[in-house]
Amino acid sequence: MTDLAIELTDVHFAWPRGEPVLAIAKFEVARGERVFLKGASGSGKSTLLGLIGGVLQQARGSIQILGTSMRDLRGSHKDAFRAAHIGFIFQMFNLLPFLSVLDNVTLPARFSRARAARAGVDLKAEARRLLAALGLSDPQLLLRPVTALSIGQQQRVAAARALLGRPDLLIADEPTSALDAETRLGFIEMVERECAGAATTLLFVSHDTALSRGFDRTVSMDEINRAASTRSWP
Amino acid sequence: MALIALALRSLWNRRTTAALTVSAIAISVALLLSVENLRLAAREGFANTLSGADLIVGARSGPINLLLYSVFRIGDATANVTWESYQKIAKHPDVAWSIPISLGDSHRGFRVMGTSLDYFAHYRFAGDQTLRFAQGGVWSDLYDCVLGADVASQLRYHLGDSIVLAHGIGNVSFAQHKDKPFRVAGILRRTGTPVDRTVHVSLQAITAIHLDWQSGMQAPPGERVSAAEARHRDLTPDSITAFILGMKSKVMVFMMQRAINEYREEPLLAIIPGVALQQLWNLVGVADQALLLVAGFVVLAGLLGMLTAILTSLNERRREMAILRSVGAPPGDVFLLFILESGVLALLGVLFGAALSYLLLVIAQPVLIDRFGIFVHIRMLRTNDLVILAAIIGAALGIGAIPAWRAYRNSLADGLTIRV
Repeated sequence: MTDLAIELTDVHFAWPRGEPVLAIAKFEVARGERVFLKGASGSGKSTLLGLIGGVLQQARGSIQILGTSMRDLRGSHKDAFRAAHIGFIFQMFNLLPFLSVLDNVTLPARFSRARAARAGVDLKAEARRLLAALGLSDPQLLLRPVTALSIGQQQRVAAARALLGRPDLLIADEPTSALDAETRLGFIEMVERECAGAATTLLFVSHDTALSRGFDRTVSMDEINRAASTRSWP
Repeated sequence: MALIALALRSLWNRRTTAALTVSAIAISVALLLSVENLRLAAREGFANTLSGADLIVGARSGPINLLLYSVFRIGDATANVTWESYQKIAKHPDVAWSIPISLGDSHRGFRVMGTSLDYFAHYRFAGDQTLRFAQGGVWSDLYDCVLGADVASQLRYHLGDSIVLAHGIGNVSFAQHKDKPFRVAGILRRTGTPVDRTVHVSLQAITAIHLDWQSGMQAPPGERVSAAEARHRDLTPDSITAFILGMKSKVMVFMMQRAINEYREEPLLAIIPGVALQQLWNLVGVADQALLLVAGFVVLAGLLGMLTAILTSLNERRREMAILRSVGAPPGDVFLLFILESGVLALLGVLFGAALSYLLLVIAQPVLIDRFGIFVHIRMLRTNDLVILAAIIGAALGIGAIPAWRAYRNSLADGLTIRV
């Protein structure tokens, strides 16, 4: 078993008939590491996350996630791999409006038996534990429709979902940009604490370097993505 | 994988739109099933009007015309059959029984039919059912009549009531046989055929009430024949309108038909009821097929409504799909989710539609019998109905594949990017 959670080697990606978006010679994240990936919009970070999540396919190069080559995984195996090993938190609108708070948190267990197994016999209890750890312990809150929650509360529910069943890798894509300054750092601390507890590797993507303290390492998209520097933006 | 649970929850979240879509489908399905019910009932009722008879004979005209006036009491005979010809044919050794029919009078919009007691013995409908009495029995006196079920119920007649026949068949007739009133001797059970709308009297009674009539006018007062006097006259009719024949053997039906059609004494026409009924149905059947076609298009419109509703929701649900993809749903699941949604909508629509059609039937059944004489059975869905309903669900799944495919393509293109 390799000790790298993410290992990109000489990866190139371009949209059909488009200019190259991504050209990364080397990008590595060790297991258990907490990495702050700094990148503005248009820096290719969404593409990078798509590649790591196995939703996009690189034109060339090698992407190893937790020692598994994404190129070698086909179709539904990629989806199953993502379900079992990776948790995602997005900028906003992370929740399915038609599910309850608890059902949103336990959603990954519907798609991955491994995640369900690691979450334990009582999925709802584990969901409640995670929500409480993230500061959502009020039982009244859990009964409300997710659309009635504040953005901050929604993001914490999303974090609980991403953390359910202790995924090996948590990818957070600008999860705090919709939050106000006070709650931002608190949110990041809670996520970091939970990742540490579950030995989950954290890849935190943001354009805001002010958030980068507390991370093991900061990587800038501009440094690793050679395609971006050669692009001809006006 | 509990995709169906997700689909149901998602639909529940959009329950107003979903309910409208289901209603549109349900109404269209109910319409289609009702039309189908009515169509089959009409066809059945049609084919059940007369059975067991081998030939219908009348003056030469068209087969459908003869069928219409002799069996359905619609329209008029252009000419009569002489009593001699009738007797000659009826007494033929191959003929098992015969029912004479004499039409031309009416009672408050209902046709009066003169016939013999053989009518009650040999007339068959709906397979092998004979005419049965609800009250009373056949006539025992010259001025007795037997009412069909509708005549009795609509005009509220009871046994022993006295009724006056009108000359001619207009709804409102000024020329009435007032001097020779009839007593209600029997009321027939409902048959669901034109028999229900007929007033039956004997052939002799028809002759008796017309003794003093000439060219549609009653003779002046001095030359009239009273009801009592008429009893002593020779009441053998000169002619009848048509007659129904039952043959001793089916083999002889065609021979007899040809013999009658080539009868030299007078121009006669013999038709085989089944064949003529089929011809008539082919004529009428076009209308019901058109109706079915329209109902089919209404169902299509209902399904297109569903397509519109789902397609409209597609864009706002892109991020739902991205979330599902991020937690590991394969794009195939996104496709299935949409197909399931269409399936659930169509299934609910079909179930509610079937229930609605039952409800409509329960409400409409008495009206249909009373007003139109069509008896619609309330019964379980027929195989044919089930095939139609399955086809609707199949079509819904097919139509549902359009948004499902677009959602699938979207989710491939969007990946984990949540578009707002």
